Amino acid sequence: MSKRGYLADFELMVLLALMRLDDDAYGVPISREIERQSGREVALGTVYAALERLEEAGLVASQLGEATAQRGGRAKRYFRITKRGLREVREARRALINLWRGLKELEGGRA
Amino acid sequence: MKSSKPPVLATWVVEHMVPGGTNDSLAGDLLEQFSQGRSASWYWRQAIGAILAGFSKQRLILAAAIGATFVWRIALNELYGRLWSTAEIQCLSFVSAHHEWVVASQASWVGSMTAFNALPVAVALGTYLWLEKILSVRRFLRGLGAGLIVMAVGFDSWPPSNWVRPAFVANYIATVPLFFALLAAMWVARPIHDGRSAAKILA
Repeated sequence: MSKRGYLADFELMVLLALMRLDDDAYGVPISREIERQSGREVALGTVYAALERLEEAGLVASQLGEATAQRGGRAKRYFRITKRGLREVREARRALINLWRGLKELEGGRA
Repeated sequence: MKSSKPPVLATWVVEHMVPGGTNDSLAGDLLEQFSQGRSASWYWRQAIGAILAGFSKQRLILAAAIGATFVWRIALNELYGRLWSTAEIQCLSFVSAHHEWVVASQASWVGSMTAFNALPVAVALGTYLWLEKILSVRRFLRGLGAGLIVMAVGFDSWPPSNWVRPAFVANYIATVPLFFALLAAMWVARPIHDGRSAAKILA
């Protein structure tokens, strides 16, 4: 198990969204992807706060992209998952699958 | 009708008030979304949400400010309790309560209160910087300066609380400027992550 501890729900969702978006992962598409998959509205500030935490932990890396007029000349910040981040996601997946397995209450799609 | 321009104040808030090193990108994302049809109220909600989300990252600052304020207040209560038993203090208190000429001017009162409360700000700020492993003279002085300015403004504008009963509640209310001074001191001196290290990883 990693020293950092377990990923929070939202951090895990952000990492999975990054993996789904691949090279186009900046704030807007990340929040849209989470909204699309979870069905809940997500504040951009919350996404950035999670990304900064993940970046400080070395699970995510970022670089500045192009600035456009539509963005008032401000550059996009593209994020990508690091090898360490990928390891954490795999570990979280394994732990969650183990915990879910054999739960009668969750079988048949009823909570 | 939807305004074609985003709220200027909300943009300023995002750029200057949201903690962290990604404010510019966040502001750009909000502008991009606004240009694609989002409303001004959505824009404001996002700006306020970003501030709250950013503040939740700075729990150590909030905890240190609350802790230092309480410790200082308890220490003062203890100190006053001991001093009150001395005849000189009782005499001085009686004189100051009955002779207006003893009461100092507002400016000197603010100055003396600020100087007196500089000790807990300095101690809490030093401890915070040491815990964050970013202790340096420059950072310390920057934080202390901000804290003292906020405290002077706070003591100058904070309403007197001596009419509040019981007295211990009045004491805590009187300590509010110190709490905001502690927040300001640590906020100004906090580490700012700018993502440059991550850029190196990618390079």
